[in-house]
Amino acid sequence: MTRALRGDAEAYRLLLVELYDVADAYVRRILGSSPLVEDCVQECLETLHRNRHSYDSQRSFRPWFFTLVRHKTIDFLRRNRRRAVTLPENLAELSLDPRPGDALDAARVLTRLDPIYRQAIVLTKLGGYTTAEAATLLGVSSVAMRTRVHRGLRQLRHLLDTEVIT
Amino acid sequence: MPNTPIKKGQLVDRLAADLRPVHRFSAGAVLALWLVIAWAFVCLVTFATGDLRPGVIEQLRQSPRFLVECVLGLVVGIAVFRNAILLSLPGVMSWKRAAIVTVGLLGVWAGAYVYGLVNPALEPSMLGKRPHCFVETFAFSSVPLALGYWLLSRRTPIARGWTGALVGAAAASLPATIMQIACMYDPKHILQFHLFPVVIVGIAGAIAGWLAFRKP
Repeated sequence: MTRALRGDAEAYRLLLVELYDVADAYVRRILGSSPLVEDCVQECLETLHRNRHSYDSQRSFRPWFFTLVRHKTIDFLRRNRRRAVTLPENLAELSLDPRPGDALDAARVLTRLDPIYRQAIVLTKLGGYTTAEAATLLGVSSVAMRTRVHRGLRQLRHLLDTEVIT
Repeated sequence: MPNTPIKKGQLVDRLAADLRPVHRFSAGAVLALWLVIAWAFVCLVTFATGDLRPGVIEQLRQSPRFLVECVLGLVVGIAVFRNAILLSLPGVMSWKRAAIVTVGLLGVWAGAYVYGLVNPALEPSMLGKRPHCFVETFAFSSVPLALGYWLLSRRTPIARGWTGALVGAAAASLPATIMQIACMYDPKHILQFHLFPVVIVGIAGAIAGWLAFRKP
């Protein structure tokens, strides 16, 4: 990235190829197999490109990258709330009762979670991050992250129960 | 691997073709630039519209606590703007941490005067009172505010409202600080007419930041 900031197009091209795959995997874990994944990844990379000046080469690249991708994905989800989420591929990892249809319900109610709980669930249960890594990404303590995951799961379960009843 | 290598290739090619070298100031340089220009403006307009409080240099020499109160105001302004800069760099500081630090700093500053209500650093007096200090604090913060917005709009303030609030509070802190030596000394007057505008400009800055900073 540092070379790219100096105008090295080849280094930038290699970086973008790698980042595309990382962003694609991240977005797929949130949006599942939605046809909008490519649009979202494209928006993420365009955002990185437009805001590359805000990267400080003396700081770690990873938090900068994931903060922008996470922000853009959430923004994309808000704009496409009705269309975006279909069925996350790793939804089975959610610690929910394994009842038929739960995965589909969970995919739908995931968008109705409070944003801070949704972030915690997506990062730890779908994104595969440890609570410590997720806490670092979001700039909160590990204890706060564990609390968010716990409350997020409880809220998710409550929403699922409500969905079943209604 | 993604399912659409052609679209991926096109996107990468398009972005790589659009690459231009990036020239940018470091966070420290932005802070220094803002501080020098904003402080110079605030000093100039304050001295152009009135004198310092008579005997203030002597008061600074004789009362270390009064000196600390003055320095504290300047430190708060610098620290809050530094937080705003860090908040405009993705992944460096969370808005919650920035908010807690800022509220804490403003709390310590205001706390010094709340304590002064019962035990003032100097004898409260009307000496040197500026008749329009409340309005002046607002007016003098306009250039630091505009400069702060301009500098940070060239970065990536994701938490737009909080970044705007911090810029507003930092901008109003400078005239509020200089009013401590240019206007009368009375902790109640300082809290009401010099420090309260910091809160107001901070809130206005949050709204302006939400509206003015573009989404990343």
